[in-house]
This record gives sequence, C-alpha cells and structure tokens, in this order.
Amino acid sequence: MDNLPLLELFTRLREAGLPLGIDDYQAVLQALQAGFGLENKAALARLCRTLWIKSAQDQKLFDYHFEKSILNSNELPQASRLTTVNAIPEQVSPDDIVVEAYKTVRWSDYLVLLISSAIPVGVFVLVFGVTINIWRANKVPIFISKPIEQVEKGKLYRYQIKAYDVNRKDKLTIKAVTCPSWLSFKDYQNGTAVLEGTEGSEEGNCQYDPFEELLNNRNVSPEKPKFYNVKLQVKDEHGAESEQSFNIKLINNNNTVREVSIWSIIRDYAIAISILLTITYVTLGRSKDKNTREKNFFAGKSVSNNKREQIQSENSVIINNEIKLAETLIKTSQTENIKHLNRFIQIIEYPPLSRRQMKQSWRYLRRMVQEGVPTEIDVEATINNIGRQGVFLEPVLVPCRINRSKLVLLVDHDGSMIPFKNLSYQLTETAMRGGRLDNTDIYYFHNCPIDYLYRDRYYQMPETIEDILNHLRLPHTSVLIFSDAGAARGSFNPEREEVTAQFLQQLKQQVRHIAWLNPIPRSRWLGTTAGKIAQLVPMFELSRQGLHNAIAVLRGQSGNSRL
Amino acid sequence: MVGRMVKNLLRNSVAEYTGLVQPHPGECDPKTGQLLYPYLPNPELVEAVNLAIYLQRPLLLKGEPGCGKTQLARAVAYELGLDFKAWYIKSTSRARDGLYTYDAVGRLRDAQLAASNRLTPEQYQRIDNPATYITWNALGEAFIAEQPTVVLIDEIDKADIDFPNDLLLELDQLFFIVSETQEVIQANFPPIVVITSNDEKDLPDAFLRRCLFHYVEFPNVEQLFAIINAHFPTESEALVRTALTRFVELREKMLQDKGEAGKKVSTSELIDWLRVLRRYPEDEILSKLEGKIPFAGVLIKNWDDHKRYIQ
Repeated sequence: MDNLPLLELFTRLREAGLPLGIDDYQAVLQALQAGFGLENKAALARLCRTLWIKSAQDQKLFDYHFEKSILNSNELPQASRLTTVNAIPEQVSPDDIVVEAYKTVRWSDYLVLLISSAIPVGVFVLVFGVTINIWRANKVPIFISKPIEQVEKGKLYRYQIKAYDVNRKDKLTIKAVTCPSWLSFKDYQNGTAVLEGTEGSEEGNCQYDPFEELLNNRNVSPEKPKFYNVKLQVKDEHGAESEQSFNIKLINNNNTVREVSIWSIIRDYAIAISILLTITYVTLGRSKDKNTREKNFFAGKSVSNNKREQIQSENSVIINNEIKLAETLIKTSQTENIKHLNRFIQIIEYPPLSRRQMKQSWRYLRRMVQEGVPTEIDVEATINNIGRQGVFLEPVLVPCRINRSKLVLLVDHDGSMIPFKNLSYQLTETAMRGGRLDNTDIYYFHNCPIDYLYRDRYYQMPETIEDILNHLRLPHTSVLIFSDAGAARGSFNPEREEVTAQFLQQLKQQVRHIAWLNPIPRSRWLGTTAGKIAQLVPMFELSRQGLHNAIAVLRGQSGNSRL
Repeated sequence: MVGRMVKNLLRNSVAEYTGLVQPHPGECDPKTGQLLYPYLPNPELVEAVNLAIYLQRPLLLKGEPGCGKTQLARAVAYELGLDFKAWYIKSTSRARDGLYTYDAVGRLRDAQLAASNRLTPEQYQRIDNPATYITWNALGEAFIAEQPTVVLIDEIDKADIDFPNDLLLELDQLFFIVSETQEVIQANFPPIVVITSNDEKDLPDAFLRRCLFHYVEFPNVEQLFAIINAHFPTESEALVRTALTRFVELREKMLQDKGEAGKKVSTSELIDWLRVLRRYPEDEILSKLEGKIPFAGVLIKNWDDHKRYIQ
C-alpha cells in the first residue's frame, strides 16, 4: 500500500516527542483499509488526529507536521489512484482517433435525420396546443431588474426594482420580506419599487430579523466581508408570486485609496523585477521538467501529441504567470493587513526533563495512609480474630488507603531564575494537575525567602512564613524548594547563604522532609552559594534521576542522603 | 471451530452508527422507564464513534460540561439496538468495582448462620460455592453478555490517578480474573467503551495510548437550532429564534471575557431554559426576551457572571 507520506508524518510526530508506537501506525493502516479517512485530506487528518493526538497542545504540532508532510506529496492513499498508477496505458495512434471520430459522426447524423423527419406535424400540433394553454393561463410575475449586490460603508445605496407580468393588465404589488434596517422600501404600485438608504444609518423602514442576521453573519471576521440578506416578493392580483433574494456585500472603500509614496513605488518595482526573474527561471526549467511528461504519459496520451501538449502547457504557464504578476502588483498596493504567519511552533517540552517524566515523579510522591470511615473488610485480621476468640463475632473493618502526602512547593522566581521560567512553570503545572490539586501549595519568592512568601508570580499576595508554617495542617508535610541557590551567578554570596540557612533552620523545626531542586548542573555548584547550601539540605540537580531522588527524600525513604 | 467462525463474523458485523436514528417524542426506555431524548451529533463525532467500533478501542471524550458527552453512549446504544451499561466513577472508585463485587461480609454471615444451624438446605449449598457471592458490575456484565454492549465510563478523571492504569489489562486484552474464585472471564464480544473526562486531571500516558480521543466541540448556530427543534418540535419558531439569538449573544460575550477555559453557558442549560420558557404564554415571553434575560438562574450559575451579564 502506497502510504509513504503517512510514514513520514508518523516519524515526524515521533521525533517531535509524541509517544507513538508501531501499533498506532498499524491502527491507522487498518482504519484506512476499512474505508475511513479516504475521501479527502481533511478526513485523513481527522483520522490521524483521533488515533494519535490525545491533548489540545499536541493538536497544533500535528497540524503543522501534517501540512508539511502530506502537502509535499500530492499522493493520498486512495484506492482508486493505485490502480491507475499501476496500469500501463495503451498507445493510441492518430489514425485511430480520426477513424473513431468519423464513426461517431455518422451515428449522430442518422439520429438527427430521424428526429427531424419523424413527426413534424405532431410536434407542431403539440407546440400550438401548449402555447394556447399558456396564453390563456395566468402568468407568474417576475423581477426583471438586476440587484445591486454591494454597498460601500457609509455610502448611499439605491436599487430600482422592476417587475414584469406577461398578463399586461395584472396589478402588481411588491414587498420586501426581509431587508436590513438601514434601507427603506417604497412600492410605486405600478410594477416598480425602490430600495434605498445610507449604509449604517438608523432611518430605514425595513423589518430587521436578528435571527437571519445571526445565521448569515456567524463567520464575520476582518478578512470576510459582512453580508446583508434581502428578500423581495412580487405578487399579482390572482395570487401568483415570485421572489428575488440576494445578499448585499459590505465593502470598505479603503480599497480604492492608494498610497503613493516613494517607498511604495520602489517596492512595486522591486517586486516586479523579482517576479520577472522567477518567471524566466521557471519557464527555462519547465522545458527540462520530467514531471509534465510523466503526467501526460499516465493520462494515456500518445507520444506524438506530447510535444504539442508541452508547448501548449508552457504557453499557458507563461500566460498564467503574467496574470499572477498583475494580480500581485494590484494586491501589494492595496493590502494593509499582513497576516503574520506563525512560523515557529511552541513546543512545551523543555529539556532536561520532559513533562511526562515530571508527572511520573510526582505520582511517586505518595503516602498511602488508612484514613476515614472503615469500610473495607480485612479478611486476614478477621480470621486471626476468629482464631483467637474461638467464635466469630464481627468482621474487622479497616478504612481505605488514601494518598495523604502534602507538598509545599517553593519556587524561586525572577532574577537569576529567568532562564528557567519554562521549567518552573512545567513543574508547577504538572504538580497541580497530576491529581494532587488539594494536596499541593505553591509559593513564590525571590532569591531567598525572607519574611514573606507569595502565592502568585508577581508578588501581589504575600503570606508570612510563620503563618504558612503554623497552618500546615497535615503532619509529614514535604517541602520542595526549586531554586538555583546562587549557582547561576557563579559567585559566593555570604549574605544570601546566611539568610537561606536561617530560613532552613526555621523550616526544619516544623517540617521533617525538605529537598532542594537546582536547575544548574551539579558540576557548577562548587565554589558558589549553592555549594554551601548543599551541605545544609539535600540538594539535587534537575534531571530525571535528580527529581526521583528528591522525591525519595520527601517520602522519607532515603534517610540522610546528601547526594 | 464453526462456532468460532460464526462468532468472528458476528463480531465484525456490528452495524454502523450514523447519528440519524432518533427516538420518537414520548418514547421511554424499556428498562428504566425514563424519557428518551434525541441526540444530534457532529459528523466528526460520528466518524470517531465508527472508528472506535471498528478498531475495538475505547473512545475518550473531552469537552465542556453540558455538551453531551454522557448522552452519546446512550444514543449509540439506542441506534444500534444494543444493551447499555453505565459506570459512574466516584473519587473512591477502584478498578475492580467496575468488574464485579464480592460480598465477603455476606458470606461470613452465612457461615455464621450455618454454624448455628439456622439456614435452609438451599442456602447451605450456596455457601460452598463462592461464585454465588459475586455480583457483576458494568464491565463484567458487558464481558459476559451474549451480544456487544455499550459501556459508559463516566468522568474517569474523578478517580485516583492510578485508576485508569488499573483498567489497562481489561481494556486491552478483554479479560479479567476473579481473584476469589480464580475464574477467568473472557469477553465474548468486544464492548463499545465510551469514556468521558472533565479534564480536571491529566490521565496517564499509557492509558491515553490505548484510547481514541475526540474533543466534543460546542455546536454552531444551525446545529443548536436543529437540536432545539428535535427536543421541542411543537414549539413556535419565533420563540425559538429569539431565545437562541439571546443565548448566542450571551455565549459570545462570555467567550470573549473568559476565553477558552472559563465556564460558559452550555447546550444542556439552553435546553433547560427553553423548557422553562415554554410554560409561559408566548407573547409574554417574547416581550420579556427583549429586555433582561428572564429566568437567568437556569443559565448563569455564578454571582459574578450574574452581575456582569444580567444586570
């Protein structure tokens, strides 16, 4: 099965960091064989998205890579295309074509003869009868005026409506079923009417239907113009009616204003010259291009026609390019809003530690304690009880095990920690969302915690350290500090060391398990404040192993390891 | 041998879900007696459901609260004519609770009664066989059933973080072992599993890998119109249009102010609101809809929102 672009997409996504395995690829193949995702590119994108993308942030990554890999090759894994590619087309000679054409002409000739000679009188009678009938019957009136379908912002709009009825003597009434509120409608009672008004004014006498407005304007955006829906109806005295409905497009009259300045002239000339250069380059390249030849071959054209096709296609290419040149020149002098294409995808993974690894480490921080209402039956304890007492009085119930670990995360923010902002954000986010919403408190400080810790990143919500420590509700709270401890600056600051030592002293009185995470690698700690602080509290660098060891300390499992 | 071939054939012949078969107004569920409501899914959602059925993988749905994630499973069961089993997860749920419950206390009690000779002969026989104390829950019943079942696992992110990983074996290999009796229960037909999540917690990656994911978008204006017409076919069009216009305006304002993450008015609130509005005479309601939104308590659940949008 020819799905190389799919494999390319798969490898790209894997390299981008999505946890995809070979069975995910096989699942997509299986679905394609069953017929899902074969209609068009969007269906294929949806299929891959459902199977491979599991969160909203991966979606953007996927869209980007999909455009890149599937757009480059125009082959979609379509079942029908495979058969045409593999089949060998026949060579058709020019003589055959002529003969066949001649043959078909002869057939149609006879047919025409038959029809024209068969029933002239009958046809004549039929037509005569029908016209008499139509002539007698009442005819439906129709609109013969062509609607004006655009209006400039703030300008006058006038549409002279004219309706015509084949029965000359019929009296016609025209009315406006829906029209925007800035237009007024007047029926002159003789088959003409006028619809006029100034755009944006409030004086129209038309009915305004907000629901229609909503239906038509749900996609209003700066690029797409706004439409006003108008529906007119003409009725004659016998009740026959017809309708004319159209949309009035609101256009900006900015399009006609052209800025003439020296820079715009230079810009236009530069663009024109560059386009001309590219055209000449492309046309020169095309004559040696293999692609067009291959396409003609597969379409089954004969070799003799090949050259003619090529020259024709070259000519059309040149004409097309000239048209495009003209269009771009007009556009560049008109457009004011240039969309800034987002050429860089923001991937939220930040080495040395991926989000997934962080999440896994947080899950490791748990303390399962049996707390709450005793509901579960402890079979072994019951049996022991029976054995001891000799009779079975009642079962032994124990409460369920709940994760009762409480984490206080202190994050150093700003200053020397600015390059690690992403890391700290990831750390806090994974800590909160990894199922630990009630059990985690996050506080921010700058360089070293003195007196106050803040609940937000901008130091607007202070709380005193004493308050926080006194209100630690649960025993066995763990405190994890995320800071560079002066290692980023690379120098030894005795004041900072002293303040931090004081804070740690205060902390150790209330909290048993403290660990320090340092984003700077261990090799840089020696000779800096971090080196000194590392002797006071277990400090780990921020890697998978480091975080794991830090969590082990917080669980109380590593004893006094100073690693 | 022939039986297995027939079983395989049947396995692949589960019909396709189109989202077009709707219950008639007033039709009730035969088992619970509850009124059935129509469900109009997005075509992309229909595609995702068919993909999940074909690949025999669970379908994970995320979306705003009130966008109809839970109703989808019921609608799929209705259209395909299959049984529907629901498992509503609580924060204390264990993975085993979805499969079976073993009544240990009941067995001990019966043993106690047997020791004092207070049981009838049938009840004596019951004690010897531990399998009689097992009650099957949603997934267990789905595995035992003789036809494919639709299983809904609702709000899986409420449970503990390890909970989804505990279900991996059951969802992957479609079998589980009852530890009390050492019985191996293999699924006769792979169930159609629909899992909903409110996105409050991240689910573990190993679990996500096994599922297909679909985000249920908020319907656009035409779809909302179709949904309301399906629920209230006898309602006057003018009322529906004006109410819908006010609703969409309110939602746009909330979207601008709160962005993607905040709580906005949802489809289920719209349906409840319309249900309230139709109890009153039409012209009274139409005139009320011109001014402040009437019965705002059905749409706005927050004092801040009330101050900002209603007053």
